[in-house]
Amino acid sequence: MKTSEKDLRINKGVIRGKEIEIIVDGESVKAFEGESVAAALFANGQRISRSTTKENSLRGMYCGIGMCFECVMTIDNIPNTRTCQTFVREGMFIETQQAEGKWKTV
Amino acid sequence: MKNNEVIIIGGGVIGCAVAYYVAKKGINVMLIDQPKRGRATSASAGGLWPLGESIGLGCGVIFHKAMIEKGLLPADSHIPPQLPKSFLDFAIQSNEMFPSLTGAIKELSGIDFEYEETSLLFLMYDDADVAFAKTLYGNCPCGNSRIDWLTPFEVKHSEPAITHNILGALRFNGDNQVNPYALADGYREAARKLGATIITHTEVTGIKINAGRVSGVETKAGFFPSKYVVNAAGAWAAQVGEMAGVEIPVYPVRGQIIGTEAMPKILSACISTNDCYIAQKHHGEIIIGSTTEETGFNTDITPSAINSLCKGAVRAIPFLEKAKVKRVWSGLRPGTADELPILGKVKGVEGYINACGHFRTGILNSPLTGLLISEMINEDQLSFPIEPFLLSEERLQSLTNNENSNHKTSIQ
Amino acid sequence: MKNRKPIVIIGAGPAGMGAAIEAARAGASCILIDEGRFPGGQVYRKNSKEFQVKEKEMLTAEQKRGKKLHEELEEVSDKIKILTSTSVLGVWKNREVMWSSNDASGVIEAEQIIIATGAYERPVPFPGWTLPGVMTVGGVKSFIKTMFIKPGETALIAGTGPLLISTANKLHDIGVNVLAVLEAGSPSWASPDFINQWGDADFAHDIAADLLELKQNNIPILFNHTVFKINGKDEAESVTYGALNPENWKPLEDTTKTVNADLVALGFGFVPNTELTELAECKHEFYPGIGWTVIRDEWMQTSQQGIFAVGDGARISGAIIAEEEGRIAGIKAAQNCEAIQAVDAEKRSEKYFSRIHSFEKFRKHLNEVTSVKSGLLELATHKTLVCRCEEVRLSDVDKAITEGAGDLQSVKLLTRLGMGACQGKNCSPSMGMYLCEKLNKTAYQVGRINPRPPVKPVTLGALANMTITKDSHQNDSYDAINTGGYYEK
Repeated sequence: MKTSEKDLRINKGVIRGKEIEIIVDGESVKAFEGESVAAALFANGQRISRSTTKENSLRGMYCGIGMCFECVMTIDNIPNTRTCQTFVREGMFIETQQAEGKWKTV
Repeated sequence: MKNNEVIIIGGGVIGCAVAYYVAKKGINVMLIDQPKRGRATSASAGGLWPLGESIGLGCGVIFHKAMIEKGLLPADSHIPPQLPKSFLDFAIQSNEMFPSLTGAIKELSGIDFEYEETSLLFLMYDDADVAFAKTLYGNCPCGNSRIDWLTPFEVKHSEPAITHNILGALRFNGDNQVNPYALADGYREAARKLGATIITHTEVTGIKINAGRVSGVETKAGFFPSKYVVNAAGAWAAQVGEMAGVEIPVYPVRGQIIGTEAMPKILSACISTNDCYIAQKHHGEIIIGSTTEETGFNTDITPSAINSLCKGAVRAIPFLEKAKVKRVWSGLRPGTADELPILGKVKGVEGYINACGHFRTGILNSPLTGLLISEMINEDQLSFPIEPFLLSEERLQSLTNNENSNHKTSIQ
Repeated sequence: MKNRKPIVIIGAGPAGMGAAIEAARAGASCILIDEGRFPGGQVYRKNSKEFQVKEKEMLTAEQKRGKKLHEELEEVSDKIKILTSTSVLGVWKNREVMWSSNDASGVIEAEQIIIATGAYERPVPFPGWTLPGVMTVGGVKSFIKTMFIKPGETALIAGTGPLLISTANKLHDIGVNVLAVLEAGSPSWASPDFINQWGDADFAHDIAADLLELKQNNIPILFNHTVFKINGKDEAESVTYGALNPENWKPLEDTTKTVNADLVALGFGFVPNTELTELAECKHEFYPGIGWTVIRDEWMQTSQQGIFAVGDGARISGAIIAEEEGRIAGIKAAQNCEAIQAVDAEKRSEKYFSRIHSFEKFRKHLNEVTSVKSGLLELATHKTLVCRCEEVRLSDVDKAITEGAGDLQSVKLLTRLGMGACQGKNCSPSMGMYLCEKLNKTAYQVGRINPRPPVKPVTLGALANMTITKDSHQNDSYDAINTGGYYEK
């Protein structure tokens, strides 16, 4: 499991859900049930969710309330999934999205 | 200020095409436009389907099925009415202009309107579809040289994303697509480069007529004199005609349309089924259309239409189930009861010219329409016989009294 | 009571919860819909149920209010159909509500609709505002509150309004180094007189407490200052900030300083989320510096019969007033359904009206001090992205204006501004203001970017699987929707 040099979780006063593994860009990452995908990634120090179509510039979570679509990533082969509104599951397959993202079409 | 010889009212694809072809003749031309919600160009899928449209595919077949379901047509009438040969010839000639147009527009305006040679596939789901396809295959007005009958295996091979639950498909070669907005923008910018004056966001309030002759156009931004006025006002053509005292039997016909998020290339052909048509555009989004509804100038969208278009799309391409809908919107087609455009001069008002009533085929028929209007103004020999499309007194009478019009019934 | 269609309440924040509580108490059939996993909205958002959170001994006033509201809703939850993880895609003026949840969608015909969709942070474009590490203050606050994760190590907070202060304190609490709060105005709420003047309003106490805490936390607050530019290659690394002209908030370019920060929290006030009231063709009005609000009568009824708008989604007033507005609408909607008599409705709503009236002056005052001034628009350069989704630069908008575009809709057609996934929420408020300034036009002339259904993401599969419920008492297609289990007993 990829162990980030930092874990930004606050542990005082809270007991998280079950520890699980998610796959982020091919690497195993620690997450806890009840966390949003964005939260699990932030905790692991990853704030970049995607690069844009036109200018290939990097974006990350901005509004945090599901409204801005900046935090979208490809989750379980479905691009443009809002990571702030999607909750982690054991084995969830998450990819940093480039432009429109890759679909598994057939 | 230079004197305008020609003023075009309407900045949709037809108005812009006319501006381009007239400017190309070196004639001083001005286009006046007030963008309106519901303009047909902005709700088009950009299909160039001369064969498909002429024999009732695209929206025609969807509408036809809905009529049968509502009990308005007998269940065994699996053949949508075909349009006259003159329309097919017009559409084919116009379609043939696109390959050279694409270079010309790009050179002048820098705009690529994304002309793509896709072909059109009609999917056969059941025996009724096969019977319909057989009729088309056997009786196509241009012979079946442009039509291929594909087996399910052949469809699977060329379009793997299409459902395997089909009995076959007809491929219409030469039925292609463009980006409709880019086409209109391209014509407009090319016209501007050729010296046309483009006035946008300006409402036309009247057409001035002196002694039976057009003398100019009144707008909210003042009066502009001109010798010719071209009515290219789409669904609003009747209102513009009225300003010149000309009765134009054009009425708005709503089409609702769905656009998906951008997807990787999953379709190389445009698809027509009896539920919907589907076209993937250059940016990757997939356009799914369309309803045919007579609801006045109402541009609402309706849940039942969204539902049936989505069902149709998922049936044809199961993978689309996971795709997200980005937007649903609607446009108002300039409908005519005989489904033919209204072109050319009218009796009684010198200098007034129609370029309206293009219904479902404005994108496809824009180049030839533009060319013909420019030839008419320049008094050149016409590249196509215009007679079937003139608003003669007989045609006007039949259009205004036409009880047979399909579209007088609202179907959702 | 006749077999009636339900009251549909859209949004389960303070306003929607208030509405649902009162409608249910009055005996009306009602459905409460929210996109989140649980009711609560942004301000009273609950933790994931997978988390066990030790309740603090000393709750803040806001936490107390939230707790009470959740308890009240729970008491009547068996009388309400609560559809969580459910999006509303569109509302029609004939009172149809289109929803989706996972792989299904449907249309509910409602007797009454109460729209309580809340607000979002007003976007102010400037160089670098799209970099990862730049977030809204509301987003930061709710992220910390529900996820217990540090969004960065060193933070700078900028914008206007009291939410900046509470966010700064919250970040400090969890060990983030908060460099400063940059307040664009010099608002009266930050002065010591404020509590003396408005002491009877709950919210004034909250602000005073937050300010005191900020002082104890040693976090400086700079008035008439804001962020000019955020620098960084892949993510936010440093921030260039400076002073604003107090009159018009124009940036004073020779005052800039640069500090290192990896988290920038922005909050320039709020914009009501009026997509659904727009789709339902309710009438709206515009207040300079504040924005578009929904026109309502004293019972919170919009110009469309049977459609209410409450809380920050109608007009920004904060959570306390939102709740009262929701309650009033819930009571009136129940009366419109003939669940209660007019006299009863009057009686039930009396105290909520009186609370609202007592807040009225305070609200007007707060509107004045949280509005933005147009000088902020000068922070954007030609190259600044003004539409984040479609990557439209300010220069593209300028070009469209040169070509004759005189309103937002025309700019949209020429540039794709507002055509992206957020449907113009992150560009329309700032560019509307920009067009007004540049063309010397009113907000009504400049217009808005028309929302189009679906206003939330939904798959074709879900729309193909649509149930149109004519009589809501039969075959409730939404029975299968997960209610999140939050109030399950």
